[in-house]
Amino acid sequence: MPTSRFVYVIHIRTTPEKLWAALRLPEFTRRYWCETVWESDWKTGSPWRALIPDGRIADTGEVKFSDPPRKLVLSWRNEFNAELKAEGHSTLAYEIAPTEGAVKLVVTHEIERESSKLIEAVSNGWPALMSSLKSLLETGEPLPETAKWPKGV
Amino acid sequence: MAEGRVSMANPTALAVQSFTAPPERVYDAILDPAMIARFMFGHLLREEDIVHIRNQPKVGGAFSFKVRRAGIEIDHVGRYLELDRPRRIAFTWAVAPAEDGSRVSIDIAHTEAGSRLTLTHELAPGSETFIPQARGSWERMLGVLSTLIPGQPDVAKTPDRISLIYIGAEPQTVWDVVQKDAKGYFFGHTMHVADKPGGAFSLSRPDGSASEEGVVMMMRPPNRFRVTWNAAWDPSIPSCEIEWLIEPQATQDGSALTRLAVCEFHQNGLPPQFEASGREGWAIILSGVKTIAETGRPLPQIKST
Repeated sequence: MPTSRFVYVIHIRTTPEKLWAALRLPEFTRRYWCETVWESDWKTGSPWRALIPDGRIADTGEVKFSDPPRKLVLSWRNEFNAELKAEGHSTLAYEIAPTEGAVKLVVTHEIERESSKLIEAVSNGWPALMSSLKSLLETGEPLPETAKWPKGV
Repeated sequence: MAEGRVSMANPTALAVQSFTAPPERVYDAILDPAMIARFMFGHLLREEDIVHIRNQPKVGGAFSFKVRRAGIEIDHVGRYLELDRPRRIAFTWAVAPAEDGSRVSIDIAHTEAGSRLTLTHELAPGSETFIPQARGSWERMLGVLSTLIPGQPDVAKTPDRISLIYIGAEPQTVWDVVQKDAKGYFFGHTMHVADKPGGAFSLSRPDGSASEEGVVMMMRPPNRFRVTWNAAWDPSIPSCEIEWLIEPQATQDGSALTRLAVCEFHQNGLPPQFEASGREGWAIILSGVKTIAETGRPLPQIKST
C-alpha cells in the first residue's frame, strides 16, 4: 500500500507521565497547541476531537491504542480544511520512552496514499508544535508561534 | 588607464591562501565562470542572486560580474592586464559605473603541498579605511575557492533531509550555542569551526579521537554556516555537506523566535543506513541546542543510537 509518512523525534526534560498529560489535557494544549481543547476519555475504542477556540472542530478520530504513559495511537481526520478532510483518516502515533533524566518522544503521522496534502501540512506543523510543547515543559512558557490560533485559518 | 594611476604607494590589501591543488588548477579555477559564480559570489558568501557572470580571460579582455543584493544590482567590472598561466593574473577592479578604481594582482607559487596564492589589491588613493574590509572579503572568497578545488564531490543541490526545531531565543543566541557549546549538545564532543571558509572543521570525542572532519565552506554569522563532513571513524562512508540555518521568525508580539534547520546534502541521496540513525542523532542534537538556548543548561547526555 502506498504510504505518506512524517516522523518527528524530540527529547524533552520531563517525565513520561507529565508528557502523557501534556499531549492530551486542555490545560496544556490550550497553551502550546494554538488554544485548542482536546476531548475524549482516551480509552481504546473511544472517539476524540479537538476544538478550535471559535467552536469549530479541528480534527476528529478514534483512540486505536492506549498504553499510558508509553504509547497512544489515534485515527485522525482533519475537519476544517475541505481538501485535507477529503483524504480521510490518517494514523497518528505518540511513543514515549524515558532516557537518562529526560524523555524521548517519537511522533509518527501516516496515511495510506501517495503525496498526501495532509502529511505535507503536518510536516510543517509537528516541529513547531512539539518545539512549543518542549518549551512549555522545560521553561513554563510555550513558543509565541503556537500560543494562539492563527488569524484567518 | 588604471595601470598608470595605481602604484604600491596606494593603500593595499593583501590576502594569502594555500591550496592542496597545483598552480594550474588554481589558475584555471579563478578564470572559470562556473567557479567565479561560486567562490566570488552567491550564497556561500552572502545573501545575493547572480544576474550574470561575463568573462573574457585574455589580456585586454573585459569582465562583468553582476549580482543583486537586497533588490539592488551591483556590477563588478574590470579588464585583464596580465595573464601568465599558471603564475600570475592581474586585472582592474571596480563597481560600475566606475571603470578603473583599483587593481588586483594574483601570484600563484608552487609549494610542496600544492600551491600558495598571494592576492594584492591596490585600492584608489585615499581609501585606507577600506583595507580591512577588502582583505576580509578576499580572504573569504579565497577560502571558499580552497574548498571547491581540487574538486569536492558533487552533492545534491537541494537538501536530502532537513532536521528542524523552533527555539524561543534570538538567532545570535542560537548561533553562539551551536558554535561554542557542542560539548553540551553533541554527545560530549568538542567542535572546532574555523571562522573563515577554507579553514578546518572537526568534531572530537571526549577521549580526543576524531569523529568528523572537514572544511568550512560558508561562514555567515549569525545565520548560516556550511561544512564538508567526513566520518573519521569510517573512510568508506561517502563525505557529505552539512549546513546549519538559523533564521529569525516573525511573531505577533515581537518576542524572539528562531528556526534552526540542519540540512544534509549527500552525493547520491540519503544513505539508507542513515535514514533512521541520522534522524535519531539530529533529534538529540537539536533538542539539546534548544534546551541550552532557552534554559542555559544542557539536557542530560543521551547516547547516540
